[in-house]
Amino acid sequence: MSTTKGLTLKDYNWINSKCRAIAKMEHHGVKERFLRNELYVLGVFAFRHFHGAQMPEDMLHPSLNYELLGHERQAV
Amino acid sequence: MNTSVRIQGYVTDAHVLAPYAKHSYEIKRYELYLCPSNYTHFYDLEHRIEELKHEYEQQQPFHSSRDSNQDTHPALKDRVFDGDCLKFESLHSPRLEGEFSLLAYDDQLIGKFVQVVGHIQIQELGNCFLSFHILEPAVHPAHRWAD
Repeated sequence: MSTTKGLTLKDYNWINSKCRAIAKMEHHGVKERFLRNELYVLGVFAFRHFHGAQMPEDMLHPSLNYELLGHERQAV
Repeated sequence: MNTSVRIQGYVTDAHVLAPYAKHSYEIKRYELYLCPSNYTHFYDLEHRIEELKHEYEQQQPFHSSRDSNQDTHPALKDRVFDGDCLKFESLHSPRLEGEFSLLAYDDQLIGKFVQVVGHIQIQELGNCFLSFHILEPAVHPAHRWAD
């Protein structure tokens, strides 16, 4: 993992696009529980990219040092 | 070139149980409008469409590419993007998988998180559209995160 902390311009662009997209989804009638999932992805993206990590293999384990267990890897 | 597409997103409008035509003189088509969960799909599709068009032009005989000069044959618009959504269409009824096979009305699909399987198609005049043949429920990667 890179030691550089902070978001890049590309990360900001992705976050901006995602924020617009989520609002559009809401406008199109997407239910709140789905919007919550998208907002979760947005949070995970910002957190991981701030710390120079890519998106996790399993979205439900967003911490930086989590290693997937065997059965979790199969499920992904 | 691989033209297959498999995209997850939210349904914003659907005519998959009953085909639809905007005007009475048009052929009725099955249609689906999708707000993709990952917006990089837009860039990816744009790139693949450009590649497909380039490949198609290369395959045309010389006289044909001369005839397709924009002065004589104005290019038809692609029908891939509709505002901030992707538009899928088909003359054949798409296969509805899982719980979708029990649906009675198209409105029941609106707002659902789905996966669409189809192809990027190019027509004789060089314009593109997205066809679809499978529509199935999808599980969001962050599903159950709050449990």
